[in-house]
Amino acid sequence: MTLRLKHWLSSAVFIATLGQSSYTLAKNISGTISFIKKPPMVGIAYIPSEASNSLKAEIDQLDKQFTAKMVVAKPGDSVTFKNSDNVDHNVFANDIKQSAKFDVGLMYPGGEKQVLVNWQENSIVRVGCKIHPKMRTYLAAIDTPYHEIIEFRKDKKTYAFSIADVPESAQTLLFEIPKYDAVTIDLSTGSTWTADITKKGKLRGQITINQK
Amino acid sequence: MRSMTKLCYALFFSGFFIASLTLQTSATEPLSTPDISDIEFPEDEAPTPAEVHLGKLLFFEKKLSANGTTSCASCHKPEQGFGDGLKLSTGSEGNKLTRHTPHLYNLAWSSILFWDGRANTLEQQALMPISNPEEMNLSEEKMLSRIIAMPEYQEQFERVYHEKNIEASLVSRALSAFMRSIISNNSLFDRYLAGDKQALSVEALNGLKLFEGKAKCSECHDGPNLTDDSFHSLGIALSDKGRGNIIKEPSMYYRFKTPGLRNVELTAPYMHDGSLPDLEAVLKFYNDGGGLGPNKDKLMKPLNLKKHEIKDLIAFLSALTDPVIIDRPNLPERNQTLLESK
Repeated sequence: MTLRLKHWLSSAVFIATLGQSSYTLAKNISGTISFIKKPPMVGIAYIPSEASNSLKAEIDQLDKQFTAKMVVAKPGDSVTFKNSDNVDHNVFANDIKQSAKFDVGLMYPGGEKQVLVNWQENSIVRVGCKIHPKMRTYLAAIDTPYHEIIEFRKDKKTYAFSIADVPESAQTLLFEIPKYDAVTIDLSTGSTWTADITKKGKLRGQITINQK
Repeated sequence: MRSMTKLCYALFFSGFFIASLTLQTSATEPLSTPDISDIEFPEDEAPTPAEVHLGKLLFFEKKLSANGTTSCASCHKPEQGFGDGLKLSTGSEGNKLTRHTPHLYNLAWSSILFWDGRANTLEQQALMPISNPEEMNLSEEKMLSRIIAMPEYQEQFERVYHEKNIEASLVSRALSAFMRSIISNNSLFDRYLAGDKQALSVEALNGLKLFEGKAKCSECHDGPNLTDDSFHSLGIALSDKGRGNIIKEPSMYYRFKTPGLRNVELTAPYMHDGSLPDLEAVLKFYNDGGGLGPNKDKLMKPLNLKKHEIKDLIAFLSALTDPVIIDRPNLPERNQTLLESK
């Protein structure tokens, strides 16, 4: 009996230690983004991983606007478009480069439609409304739980973001803004990184990453 | 107890009123002065004065039409609100077109161009009337060979774009740069918005209240340029399917883009077919609930505006005037043989 108890206790200690060690295998990534001039609309920082994104992608429409400037959608899953507005909408995308072409057709108030994300992985596709051309949002076809969308404002040039519990083994962080050059940061050595944010090669700002 | 009940009713109804007010106004963008920092310039860079000047020369260049008689400015006359004052536009051969010439004010902020929205950017739009057989009827190839044959353009293109080869995309960029410079943002209404409460007359002020209230104008004519950039059917079109033809969507048949109202008093006649000669006719049309054509927008209902309210609305619309003066450039007289160049 005593032996059994000892065995149980040592197993419990082992499991607790394992739990603790797996916890310490995670790291937190934080970042600062600054722009020289007026910021763009939205960006996303993400860390590719084998873990999958379990969140369902959904974009609503209200007051002749999409309710988010960007949504992450898992490639192969569906993204749901809702119309909580009091006017009709017609959501579409036509990005030949990413093979993303869809048109959900007319959506009456209260309507809901789903679109299969069957285009290029790790791409960002612009989505609009054929009836209200001012409307704009982006779908990021990315499959990782480690991501952060950063919505920018025209009157603010500096932003902070963080991604928690990233696996210690994470090697790369990507930062993307529609129409800008993608930023790739190698996380394998060091603990602080700085990279330029450019658009067609022209300097637009800087991103600094810290890991703890 | 009775006073308590009254208070509850008052709170309930005031809450209901506020909720209704929010619902009514929430879908529209507030009227405001256009913000230059909101313009989405290509490559995020505002054009240089030299680029705008080159675009202006091209805008007035008649050699950009097949028979050398028509420039962009032939229909978009700066002195006539960048329109032509005609009911329907005229092609370079004197042929009547099917729609009215739209004005060009504040297109820098526009998210879609043409009455039917068939272009998304000014760069896409700029060359379309030049190559359209019904309008200026000049192929892209001929347009370029004519521009290349004029030494002053060679020099200007090289100076502005640092390119020896003049390509169609550069012609489009220059024309767009000029069109983006046609900005009207200092009307009496803008001065009122900036804090000068005396800028609007009593009539115009009342017109503003009607515009956002009883007359429901701002349901579609909202935002800094008084347009939702969307497409509506007012019951005017009977055969022209407008936006519906472009996106092949029956629900969008007979719908046309909401024009911005900056300098609206300078841009008569009105509507996509130029069928209404003046602002009074426009307001009477809306007051009667629009036309009898198909697919009419649900918003089009009789407004029951009184005569003095119509006058007040016109006073407000007139307070949106801030003309953009463009001096016509002195283009050199061309040798007729230029028209025959390939």
